[in-house]
Parts: sequence; structure tokens; C-alpha cells
Amino acid sequence: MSLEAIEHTEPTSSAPPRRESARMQDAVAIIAVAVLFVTAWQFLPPLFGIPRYIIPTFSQCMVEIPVMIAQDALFAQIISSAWAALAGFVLGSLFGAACGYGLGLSPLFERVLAPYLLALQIAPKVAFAPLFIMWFGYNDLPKVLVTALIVFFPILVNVLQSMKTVDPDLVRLARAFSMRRAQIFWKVEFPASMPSLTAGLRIGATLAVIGVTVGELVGGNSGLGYLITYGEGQADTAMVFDAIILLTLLGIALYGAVAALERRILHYLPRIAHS
Amino acid sequence: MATELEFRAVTRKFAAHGKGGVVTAIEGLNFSVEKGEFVAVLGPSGCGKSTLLGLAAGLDQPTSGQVLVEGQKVRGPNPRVAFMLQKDLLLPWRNLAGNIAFGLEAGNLPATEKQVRVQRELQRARLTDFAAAWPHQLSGGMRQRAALARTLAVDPGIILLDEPFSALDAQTKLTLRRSFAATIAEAGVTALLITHDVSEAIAMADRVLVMSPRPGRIIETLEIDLPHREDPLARSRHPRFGSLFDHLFEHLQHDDELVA
Ligand SMILES: Nc1ncnc2c1ncn2[C@@H]1O[C@H](COP(=O)(O)OP(=O)(O)OP(=O)(O)O)[C@@H](O)[C@H]1O
Ligand SMILES: [Mg+2]
Repeated sequence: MSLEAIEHTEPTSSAPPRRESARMQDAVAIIAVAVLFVTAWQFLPPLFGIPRYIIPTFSQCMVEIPVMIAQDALFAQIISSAWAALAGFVLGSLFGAACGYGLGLSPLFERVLAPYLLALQIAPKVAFAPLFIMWFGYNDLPKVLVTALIVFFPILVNVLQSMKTVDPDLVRLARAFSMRRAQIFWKVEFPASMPSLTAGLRIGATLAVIGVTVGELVGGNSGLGYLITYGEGQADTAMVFDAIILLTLLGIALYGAVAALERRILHYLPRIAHS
Repeated sequence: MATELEFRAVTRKFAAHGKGGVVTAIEGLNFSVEKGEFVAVLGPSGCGKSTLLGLAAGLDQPTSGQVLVEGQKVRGPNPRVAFMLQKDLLLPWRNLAGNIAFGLEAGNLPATEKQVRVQRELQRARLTDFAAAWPHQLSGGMRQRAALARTLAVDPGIILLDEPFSALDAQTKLTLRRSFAATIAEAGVTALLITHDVSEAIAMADRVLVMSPRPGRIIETLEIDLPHREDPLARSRHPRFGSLFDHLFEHLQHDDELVA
């Protein structure tokens, strides 16, 4: 029994206790940097005599926000951009994942379509925005489509790559257990691709905001991107700053949601289980 | 006694990389494994041991000759044959019980029967307390025991083990050999163990086949008529162990000279 005991090690224990304090230190440092940055933003431009139409100070940007709420329907604009980002992201992700799995299952299709996919991937997707506006008009559809198009590729590429790198011995094992092709996909290849899929989704989340912004800059009549062009026309630099900040926050929110989803899906990975 | 697995003049050739050449992995291989027997296959690296296993599992077809399992020609994967490798191949997204159930999901067993089988194998592998653990939480030895449990859960007639201990440290190896030997004896299943390790072969098997370097053929068969197949540690202390070892080692040595 003594030899047996050596093997019966307990599951990996939880994180060491000093981690909590290290995390606190990090948080303090991060907040300190934020305070430093805002302070510099507030006081440096006036100090160097930079006018507010070039770089408005932090407080000028904050004061602008209630004005935008009152005069420019800021909340509606935020919702418009957020909705388009989410819709485009979901649409692009679904198509990207579906194509990635489809091509992963069919090496022939993959070989035939690979050069075209590469060409499409290299093509600047934002340049499609004016085209979509010409096709679909001045509504929300073009910006959703540009977003979907931008989100599509990183997800397709990640999923396809993961399908090609599934451990062949795992597939052999499933085959030896007499599993059918569909079973091998759902029980082995699909779950094995999850880390790559969620990595693709994270990239897609950051790109979604770019898609929406471009769509709104080029031909929008709503959304934060539209406020950027509008503010530009009014020489209202604070409005442009605020719109950029809000778009960034939108991107962070989307990214955070995807990262949270990833932690739920990949709970079984040691790096996530221990973090 | 009934024959569980039989190779009849089996040859397997592969297209070699570049130059359009052909590699003959195994040639004219003849052997059989009786029901309930534990046979070890020893051979130098690259002599076609894993190829042999793929053929027996029905994952690969011979270039010529026949592979038979329970008298039936092997045409593809077959639920009577299950294998495990040096890698445990546990699915990281399934807990231990889910991993042991993996092989059962190909067929249409009722859910209750699956439950029963998983519990049975968890118990046999002494992993019941870890049913809900994730693979990354287990030691290498426990993971290999779980892989054996997954292999046995499908109630195979024969299990094929491709160097299942070779990735483990010496200490774990000894424990795990004993654990595997006991489990296999208890399950009463036929076993074909592929290994590089002469003492492992003697400690665990009823019979040892020695293969030549590529193209692999059987060049020696040795009955291991030692008691206690279920306890390799006891066997390795047996007075005749040394002479059996010397005999087999000589044959492997001989092969090295041929290669040189
Ligand atoms: N799918 C394949 N295509 C081409 N050649 C192959 C293939 N599978 C095996 N071979 C060749 O057949 C020979 C035997 O390979 P095999 O893996 O069976 O050897 P092995 O005895 O298991 O070796 P090791 O002890 O290193 O595991 C090798 O020369 C190998 O290169
Ligand atoms: Mg091998």
C-alpha cells in the first residue's frame, strides 16, 4: 500500500496566500497611473498654451458630456453603436465559426478556397463600408455588415487552425471506439477548438468597435462615430474626444463580456482554474 | 482455448517520404494471442510495433495478409478491441467520469448501463474519489489509470497497450505496472503490451514476442512460466527472472549488431 500512497496525490492545491496582497499592489499601481494620466491631461495642455480646440482638458471633456446628452441624444447614440457592434460581432462570429468548422471538416474545400480567403483577408475590410452604403442606404445595416466582415476572418482563421491541429491520436482513439464522423466532430474536434475559438472571439471583440466606427464615420446618421464627424464639423474637439472615449469603453465592455464567457467555457484549463 | 487475435502473414508497407520509395514496416508477421492471455511485444525503435497495434485496432489495413479478431477478419474499428497509448489522451474538458464514459458514447447503451460501467471502472482503478476531478488535477500515474479505465469500460475482448508506462518516472512505473497487472487480471481481458523494456515484458506477460528491426518480423517467442502475473513486483524478485532477462536481452542485442 505504501507505493500506492505515493501515487494518490491530492488534486493541485489552491493558489498560495501571498497572491492576494500582490494583486492589491497591482490595483493600487494601476489606479495611480490613471490618476497621474488624468492630472497630466488636465494641467499640461494649458501649461503649454494648447487651445481647447486642439486638446480639451479632462474637465472640459467631462463638462461636454451633459451637453451631448441634452443636445445630441448621447444615450441613443451609444445604444445605436453598441447594438451595431453586438449585432455585427454575433453575425461575424457565427459565420466565421461556421466557415472555419466547415473548411476544417473538408480539406478539399479548404485547399480550393484557401487563396481566395487569403485575398479577402488581405483586402482592407473597412473599404467595403462605402460600398455597403451604396447598396443598402443610410441605415444601420451597412455598419453592422462592415463589423461582421471585420470580425469574420480572425474567427474563421482561428477555428480552421484549431481544426487542423487537433491531436490525430485523439481522433484515432475516437475512431477505434467506432465513433461516426459527426460524433468525432462534436465530442472531440469541436470542444478541442474552444480555446482557439474564444481567442478568435476576443480579437473579434476588439475589431467590432473599429467596424462600427468606420461604418458610422463613412455614412452614418447615428452612433458615436457619427458624433465624431458631427463634432469635427462643429470644431467641437471635446465632443470628438468624448466619442472616442465612449467607443473605447464600448470595446472594453464587449471584450470583457467575451473574456468572462471564455472563463466559463474554459473553466477546465489549469491557467483559468487557478486565476 | 480460443484465439482472440491472430496475424496471418501480415505485411504493411508505407509510401516513404520523398523519392517515391516504400518503407516496409512489418513483413510476413505471424502470431496469435489466446483468450485471456497477456502477450508482450518487444522490439527496437521503428520496427513496426505501433503499426501492428493500428492494424489490430482496425485503424489501418495490411498491405497483404490478414488480421483476425475472434476469428473475424478485421475490416475497421471494432468494439471488441480497445487501445491506449503512452499519452493518456484524456479530454481536458471532461471530468474523470466523463472521460471514462467517452468510449461508451459511440454505441447505444442505455444511460443507466453507462453509469454502471463508469462506476465499475472507477472502482477497479481506485479512482472513485476522483470521479469529478479534472484531468489536470491528477498525477501522471492516475491519468494512465483513468485511461485504462476508459479502455476497459467498453468491455473489449482484447486491449492493446502501446508503451503505456514509458512517459512515467521509475517509481510511478513500478506502482502502475502492479496496478495495471491486477486490474487486467481482475477484468480477465486479453492484453497485448508493446514495450521497449525487457524487465517490464517479463514481469507482466505470459509470453513475450521479440521483433526484428524493420521490416519487423517475430524472431523469438518466450513463454514466461513464472507465477503471480498479477504482481509484477513479486515476479521481478523471482530467481528465474534473471535468466529470462538474459535470454531476451541477448536477442535484442543481436538485433543491434544487425543494425550497426
Ligand atoms: N503512416 C505512416 N506513413 C509512413 N510511414 C510510416 C507510417 N507509420 C509508420 N511508418 C513507418 O513504419 C515504421 C514503423 O513505425 P512504428 O511507429 O510502427 O514503429 P515502432 O516500433 O512503434 O517504433 P517506436 O518504438 O519508436 O514507437 C517506421 O519506419 C515509420 O517511419
Ligand atoms: Mg511506437
